[in-house]
Amino acid sequence: MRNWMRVFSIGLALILILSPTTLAQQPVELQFWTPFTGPDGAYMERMVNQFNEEHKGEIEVELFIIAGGADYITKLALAIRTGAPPGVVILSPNDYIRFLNNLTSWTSDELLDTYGLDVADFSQNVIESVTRDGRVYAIPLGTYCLGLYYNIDHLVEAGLEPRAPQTREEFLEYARKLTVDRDGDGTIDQWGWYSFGGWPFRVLWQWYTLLFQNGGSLLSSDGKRAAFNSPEGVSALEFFVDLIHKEKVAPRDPADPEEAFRVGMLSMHVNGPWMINLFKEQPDLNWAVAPVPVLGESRVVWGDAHLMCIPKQSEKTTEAAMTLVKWLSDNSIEWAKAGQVPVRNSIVNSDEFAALTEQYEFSKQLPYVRFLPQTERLAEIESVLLEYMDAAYLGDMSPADALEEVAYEVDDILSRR
Amino acid sequence: MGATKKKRRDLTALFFLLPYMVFFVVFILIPLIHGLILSFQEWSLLSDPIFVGLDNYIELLGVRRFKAAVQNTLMFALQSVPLLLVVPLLLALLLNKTFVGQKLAQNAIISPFLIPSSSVLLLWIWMLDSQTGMINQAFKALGLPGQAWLSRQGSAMGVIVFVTLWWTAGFNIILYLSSLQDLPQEFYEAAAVDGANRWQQFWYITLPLLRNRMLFITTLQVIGSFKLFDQVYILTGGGPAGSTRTLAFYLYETGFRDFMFGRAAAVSWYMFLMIALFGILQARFLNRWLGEGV
Repeated sequence: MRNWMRVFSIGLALILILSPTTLAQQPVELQFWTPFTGPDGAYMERMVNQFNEEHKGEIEVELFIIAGGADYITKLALAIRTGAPPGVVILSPNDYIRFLNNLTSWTSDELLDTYGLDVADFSQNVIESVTRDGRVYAIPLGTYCLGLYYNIDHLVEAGLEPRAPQTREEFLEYARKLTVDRDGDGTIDQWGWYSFGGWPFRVLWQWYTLLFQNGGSLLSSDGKRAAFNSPEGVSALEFFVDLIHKEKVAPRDPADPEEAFRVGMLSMHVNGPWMINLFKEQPDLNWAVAPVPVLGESRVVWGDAHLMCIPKQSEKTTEAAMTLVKWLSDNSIEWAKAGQVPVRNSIVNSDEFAALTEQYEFSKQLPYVRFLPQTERLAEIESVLLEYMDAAYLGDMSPADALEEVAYEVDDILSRR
Repeated sequence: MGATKKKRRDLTALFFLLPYMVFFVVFILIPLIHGLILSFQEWSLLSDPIFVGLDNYIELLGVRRFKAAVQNTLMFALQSVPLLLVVPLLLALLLNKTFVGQKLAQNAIISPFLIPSSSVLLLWIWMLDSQTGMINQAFKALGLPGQAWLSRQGSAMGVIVFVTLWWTAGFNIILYLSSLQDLPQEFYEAAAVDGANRWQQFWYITLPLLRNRMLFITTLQVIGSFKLFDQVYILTGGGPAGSTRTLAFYLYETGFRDFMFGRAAAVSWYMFLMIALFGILQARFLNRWLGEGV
């Protein structure tokens, strides 16, 4: 009797606990992985909160901010392998190709008819980079490229016109005039330009830019061999190395230029749009940003993108993931405020975007942004490049020798299965 | 009677060993076997593994980075093992004496090895910074030119050796101190009676008695240097120009960055072979050579 009562009461309690959840529709839970560990993470968090607010009861997105690089990619591969992938994941064009077989893809008609996403409204070179055999494998969120930040006060003090240099000659003239010993103690305390030190990849990006401007390319057209150990590549690296050792407009030892520009020890600085908000926060820093000058023969700038990818998963989560992706794309003006360039023409051409002065300067370069060739081996190639570039910058190795060494290793990397 | 008692005692022992055995099987034995199978496969994590026989092992022999990594690892072992054998011994001899502030010095010198690697290494990155670091500031104050410590091929490995010495010497000092405190005093008294000076006492009594301890430390240190990873990962990332890429770091890059898990497993078995080879050599020669001792 007593036992029977117990079973009955437990059963009743269970029904009471479970009933509200079975009656009401459970919201779809979605993991959203991003590598936005910088200040941009806060902007994305605000956007996700807004999305959750607007989709209460239907979709609940949980934002994950994971440090980018090898660990991020490994985590994703493991998640896919174990059958528990995130709903949406942000990847770069060079990482997403590792996962092509595991990503949801669409034809442009499907995107338009089912989701109302018009491929024609996207920046052409960006959408091309994610299209393979007529299928779109990712929805680009935003793009970024390099820009030239300059300290207006320094330019005025040096008697220069307060605008960014446009050509190689002008850039050199500016750099020389802006390298000064302000307090007269015999050591230089304001540098014209430098970029060697701190975040390592910036050194590569500026070299890619000049390599492309010179008409060179990173890999051969079939992607099987190194092509950067060409006169175009060598002279590009020589230019930056000479700024240190011949022109002496940059310090000999590596030092972080981001910090130096912020505190007024550096007059010109090449970096991406994510620095905008950081420099804005600095009081007394009178600065502006402009497209990178033509240091080579033509106007090209290295660029990259943030892609929203949806790993293959159940139909219900895929639908919810697509709702998030479309919402983020439609609202990417909010993302632009974090210091990014949207890839939707309708947004780039809006007055609201034009009001973001600095971001707008970056977007002027959209027509000639160039992406790297897509290869799964890029992480390896870049690590070899960085190693030897260091040696060249330090003057331990000539640029030609350094690139020859890298090419040898890169050919080896590319020849592997 | 004796047999049943023994049987019960064995069962009890087994019972107490069980928790460890479970961990051993799940976290060591199974991964070990899996790792061996993996080294004969090609596996990118996303695709299904393909059996490739000895390909991974053979291909590695032709990879320049692998050969350089072996060389760098041996170089590190060659520099760090003698230093970590001798410097802690000298410090232990010093700390074994009584002097004012002895306890303080003992704690200051020994404690670094208790600090986790990332804290220690980030601290050193900060001190070694070429522009703002304390070390270069001190150099400048002395009128010496600052150095880009971690960016030069000549100095990067040296810095790693030095940081490793600073960080891990404490453990060896404790090992030495415990031996030193166990040394029989009668030997020294007898030697003093015979007129042996301090140096002779050290050379003919202390050192021979410490042989086994030194052998133990050498073994630990060699295994430790083959596993060198944290210092490389945090301080240099394998650079400049690959001069600090060790086997363990190459393994990490191959597996977790390049998604070649089969090849990474093969690297680990090469590492195992090298350590095992050292172990055999040591058993054959060093043991006979360093026979007696405490």
